[in-house]
Amino acid sequence: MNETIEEQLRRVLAQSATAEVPDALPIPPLRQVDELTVRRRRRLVPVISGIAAAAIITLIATAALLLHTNQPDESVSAARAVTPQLVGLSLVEAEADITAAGLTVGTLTSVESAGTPKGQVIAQQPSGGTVSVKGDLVDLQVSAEATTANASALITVPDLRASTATEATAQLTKLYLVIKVVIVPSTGGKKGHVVRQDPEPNAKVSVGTVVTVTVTDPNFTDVPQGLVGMTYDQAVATLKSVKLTAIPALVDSTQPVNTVVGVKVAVGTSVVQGSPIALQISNNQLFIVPKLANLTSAEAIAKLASLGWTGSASSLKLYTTPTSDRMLVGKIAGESHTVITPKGGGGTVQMPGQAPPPGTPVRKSTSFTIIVYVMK
Amino acid sequence: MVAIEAGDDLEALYQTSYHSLLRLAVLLTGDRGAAEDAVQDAFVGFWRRIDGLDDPAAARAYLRAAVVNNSRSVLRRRRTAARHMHELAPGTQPGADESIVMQVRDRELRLAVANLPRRQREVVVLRYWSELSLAEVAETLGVSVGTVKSSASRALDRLQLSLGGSR
Repeated sequence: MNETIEEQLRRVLAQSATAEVPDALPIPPLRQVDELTVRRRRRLVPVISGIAAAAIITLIATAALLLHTNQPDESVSAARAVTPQLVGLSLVEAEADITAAGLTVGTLTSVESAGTPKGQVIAQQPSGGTVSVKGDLVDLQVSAEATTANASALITVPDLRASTATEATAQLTKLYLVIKVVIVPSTGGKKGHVVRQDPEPNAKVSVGTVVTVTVTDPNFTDVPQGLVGMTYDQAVATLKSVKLTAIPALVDSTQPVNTVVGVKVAVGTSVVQGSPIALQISNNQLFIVPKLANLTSAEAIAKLASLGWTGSASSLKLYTTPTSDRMLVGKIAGESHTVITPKGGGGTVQMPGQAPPPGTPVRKSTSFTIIVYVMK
Repeated sequence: MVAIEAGDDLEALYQTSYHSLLRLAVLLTGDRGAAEDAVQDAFVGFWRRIDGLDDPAAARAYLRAAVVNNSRSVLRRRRTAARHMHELAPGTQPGADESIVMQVRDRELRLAVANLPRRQREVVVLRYWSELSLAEVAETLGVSVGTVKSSASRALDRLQLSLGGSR
């Protein structure tokens, strides 16, 4: 065996890789691409003047970087974001670049700038190339026509309900408003669409106002109704159709084998796609005790057996009670009687004609106690 | 011209590179679930940058680097670093003519790779499984070629030592 360490490494790594991930491994669907722009941080102060904002942002970034410097190297690189060069871009392009870099769009200020097309970024803070902490704000100055939006002009908030988050972002940025997206699991609205907005449509707000839109998370799905009563296979298919998986657990039940008798999640709950849903599946080990009164013990055994009872004459404990009614002799009593205790000694005990009583769900192997009439 | 466009092309790229990226992530994390997350996250991140990547080779390099980065963070998230590669399947069963010694040596090597410091493990996997050049490894990890060289050398020494030999 003259294999070098390099050759052995190549062979062992390749073997492990293909054993863990064989070519035949099914490729899962590409996760729904989340096209939402999530603002991870709340804005601290709605409007901060340019210089103050710059100073505060620099301080926060520096402090955060210093804090991170004391942690393992990998968390530092994960938390860093390089501010992109944004001057000269349109506001929409700049917003996209900020988000792609892991940063957050901060305050937008509309300023008059002769010779610059409307909506073009003319200044940014921090400047391009600055290393910041992910999620930090990048403030932008956008050129405006002399007669249009300035800091004191009021803008009418559009109706964003039923738009996607991307559409809402585009609409708001055109109007020099800042969007903040809040994602909620599901409120029954169309997935990935705005279900609420604040301020309301038609409100008059100033440039740079944050409009909070609530969007239903496209990655969430509602647990379907009607699973109870389905066969396990039907329930698996139903769950699969809404991108959920089933985890079966067998439980004692009178329902036919493989019938879903319970779901561990409240119906209508929203869960992340791919979540496992615990289903209680009947093992059909229970049956409902029938009424045995007026049957002979042999008839009782036959009746119980027809319902799936797995016991026999030996699992039937028999007591007797005297009667003068010839018609009842040999039959099971319908009511309680005082019987002599089995151990002898003359003790007596009050017992029902049959135990367990009719209507009770019991295991198929349960023992029965009955009282049979004998001639006085 | 944008060669990788949203939709069909992304799906095609996903289909053709899924297994290879998942294997890379499995070798780095030792955990299939974590590896699947790392690959999916890489594609989501890629989607967001799609306009900036118009070259399929660059797209693959970006995805590879993203999988390496994501493997670090999903491992942290899942705290599975401790159960690393020693839990990986041993690969195809050797035939009757292959010696027990070889099986034992392979197992020791898997364990030794699992116990390498993170950067050394990344260098070893990228160099000897992904078959990247030193420069490509450096680019993927965002470090200098010199760092890759020294990490690779230290890793091989360490592996050799744990197998009871010297290089």
